[in-house]
Amino acid sequence: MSVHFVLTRIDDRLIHGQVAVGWVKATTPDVLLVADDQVLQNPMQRSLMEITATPAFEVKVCGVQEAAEVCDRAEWKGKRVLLLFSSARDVTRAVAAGLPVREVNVGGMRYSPGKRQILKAVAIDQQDVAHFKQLLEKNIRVSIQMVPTDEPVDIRKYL
Amino acid sequence: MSAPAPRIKTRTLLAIIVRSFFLQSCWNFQGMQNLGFGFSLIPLVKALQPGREAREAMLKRHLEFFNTHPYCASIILGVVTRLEAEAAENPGQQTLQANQVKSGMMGPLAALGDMVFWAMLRPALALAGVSFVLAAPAGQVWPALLGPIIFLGLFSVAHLGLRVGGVLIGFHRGIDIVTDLRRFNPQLLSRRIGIFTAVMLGALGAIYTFQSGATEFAGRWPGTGILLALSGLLFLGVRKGFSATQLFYGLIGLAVAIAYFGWI
Amino acid sequence: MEYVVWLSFLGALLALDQAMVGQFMISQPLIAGALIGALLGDLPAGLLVGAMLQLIWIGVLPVGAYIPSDHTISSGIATALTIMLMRQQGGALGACLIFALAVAIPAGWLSGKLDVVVRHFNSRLARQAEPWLNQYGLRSIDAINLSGLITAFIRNFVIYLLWLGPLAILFGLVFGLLPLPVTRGLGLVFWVLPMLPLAILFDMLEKNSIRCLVVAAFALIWVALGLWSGQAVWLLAATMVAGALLAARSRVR
Repeated sequence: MSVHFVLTRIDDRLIHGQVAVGWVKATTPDVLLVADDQVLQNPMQRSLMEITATPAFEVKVCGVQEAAEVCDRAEWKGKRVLLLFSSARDVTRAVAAGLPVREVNVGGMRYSPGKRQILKAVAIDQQDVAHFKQLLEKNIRVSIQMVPTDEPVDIRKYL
Repeated sequence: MSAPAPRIKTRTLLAIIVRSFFLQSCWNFQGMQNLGFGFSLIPLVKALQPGREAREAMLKRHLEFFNTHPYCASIILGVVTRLEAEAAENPGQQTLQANQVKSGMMGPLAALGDMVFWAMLRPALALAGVSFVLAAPAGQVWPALLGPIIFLGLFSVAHLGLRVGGVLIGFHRGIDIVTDLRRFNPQLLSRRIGIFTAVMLGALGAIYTFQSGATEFAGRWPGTGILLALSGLLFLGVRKGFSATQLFYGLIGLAVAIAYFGWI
Repeated sequence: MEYVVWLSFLGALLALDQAMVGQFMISQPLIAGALIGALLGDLPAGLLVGAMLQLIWIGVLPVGAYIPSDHTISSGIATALTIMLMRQQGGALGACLIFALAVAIPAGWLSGKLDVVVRHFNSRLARQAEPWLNQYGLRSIDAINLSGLITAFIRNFVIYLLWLGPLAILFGLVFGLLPLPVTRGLGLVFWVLPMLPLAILFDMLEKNSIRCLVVAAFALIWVALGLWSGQAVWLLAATMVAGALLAARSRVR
C-alpha cells in the first residue's frame, strides 16, 4: 500500500471537532478519507463533509468497499491518510476488501436502546462485539481513545 | 427549496434562540446535547402541534442523540424549524426528514465550529486582549480595561451574530443552507486569522520582553541570560510535546533551584 | 469569612458559562479575572492575573465531547487566591500569582473528574426523559434540562468553597513560611511563563512565511517601543489595526 495510515478511526459522527482539530493536530494528515456508503450517496452530507477541509488537509469521501483501492492509487503515493468509518461493521467490510490497517481507534459509538455503554462516548451491542473479535483475530489492535490527550484503552477488556 | 417559508411567529423563533443558550445544560454521555436540543425546540412543538399527544410524539423524535458546536447548533435549529413547519403544513406530502438532516449536519458543523471559534477566533482575540492588559502602565485601569472589552466585544459580535443569525437564516433558507455553507471558505479565514495572530504574537512578545528588561532579574548578568535560557527551554519543551501543566510545574522547580543557588 | 461564601457563589455561577449555559466567554480568565478583581476591590490586580492566566491556557483547545482539566475553575480560584495572598501576606504580585496558580491547578483537575460524574448522572436523567414526558408532559423536559445546571453549580460551589475557605488558610500559612529563595524563584517564573503560550502559538502557526511575520512584527514593535515615548497601548492599537488590515488583504491561491 502506498499511503501511510496515520489513524483509522470508528466514529459515528465521522468528521467533527475531535477529529478536525484534535487528531489533525496530533497526526498531521494530508487527507481525511471518509469511507461511508451513506455519505457517498447523499450529496448534502457529502458536501457538508467537504466544507471542513483547511489548508492543512483535504477531505475525500469514498465507499466502504473501495477504501482499499482508493488508497492504492498512484496519485496517493506517500500521502498521510486519516481514515474514518462510522461503524465497526464497516471496518470489517473494508478489511475484508483488502484494507491493510494494523490499528483501529474507536472514538465515538453513540448509545441507543439495547447497547451497553462501556466508556464515556462508546456504547456497543453483540454485533459490534463480533466485528471487533473479527478484527482482533486478524491481529489488528483495537483501542478506545476519544482524543490524543486521552489514554488509549484496549477494547479486549469489554468484549 | 422553492416554496415560501412557512408561517412561524417571530416570537417562536426568538424563544428558540433564547432557549438555545441552554443547549448544554444537561449534557450527558448518552445523548450528549439531546435534552438541550429538545428543550430549545419546545416553542416550535407548541406552535405546530395542538394536541398533547402530538406534541409529545414530536418532542420525543427530537430527543435522539445530538452533538455539535454549541454556536453552530443555531443553524441546525433554524433548518429543523423550517422542515418541521413544512411537514406540519403539508401533512400528506413527502418532506425531507428533519431528523436525518439534523444528524447529517451535526458532525461537519461541529468540526467547523471547533476550528473557527475554539482554534482560531478565541486564541487570536484573547491574544489581542491580553496584549492590552500587559501593555498598560502599572496602576492605570482604563488602558488595561480595553483588553477584556476588545476580547469580549469582538468575540461576541461573531458569537451572538451566529447564535441569532443562524436560527433566522437556517429557517429562511432551509436545506439550501448547505449551498450557502459551501461558499464559506475556512481556508481563507484560517489564513487571515493566522496572519492576525502572528502580528499580535510578535507585538506581545516585544512588549513583554521590553518590559521584563526593567525587572529585578534582567538588565544585569546572569539575570538576562537565565531569562533567555529558561525561555529557550520552554520552546524546546513545547516542541517535545510536554503539556502546559507539566512545563509549568517543571519551570517552578527549575526557577526555585536557580534562586536557591543564588544565581539571581 | 462571609465574603468567601459570596465569592464562591458568584464564581460557581460564572463557571457555568464555560459549558453549561450561554458560553458568552465571561468565564474566560481575562473577563473572570477582571470581575473577581472588581469584587475583591482590586481591579488592576484582577486584570493582570486574568491576562496572565488567559495567556497560559491560550493553546488549550476544548474539542467536542472531550473534557479537559477545568481551567475556568482553576483560573477563578487562582485570581481570588492571588489577591487574598497579596493582601494577607503582603507578597509581590508575581510570586503570589505563581503560587496561587500552582495550588489552584489541582482544583481544575478535581473539577474535571467530578464533571465526568455529573455527566453520568445526567445520563440517568436522560434515560428518564421519555417516561417522564409521557407522564408529565413537555414541562418535564424543561425540568430535566435545567436540573443539569443545579448539579453543575453544586460541583463548582463546593470546589470554590473548599479552595477559598479552609485550603486558603493553609495556603496562606505555607506561603508565609516560604524562604526568600523560593519566592524569588516564583517571581522569576512569573516573568518567564508568558513565553510558554507564545511558544505554543508559534508552534501552531501553519506556514514558515507566517512565522517570519511574527519575527518581523516583534522586531518592528521593539524598535518602535524604544522610539515612542507615549503610551504603549496606542502603539498596540495601531498594530492591531495594521494586523487586521494585513489579514484582510490576503487571499488563498
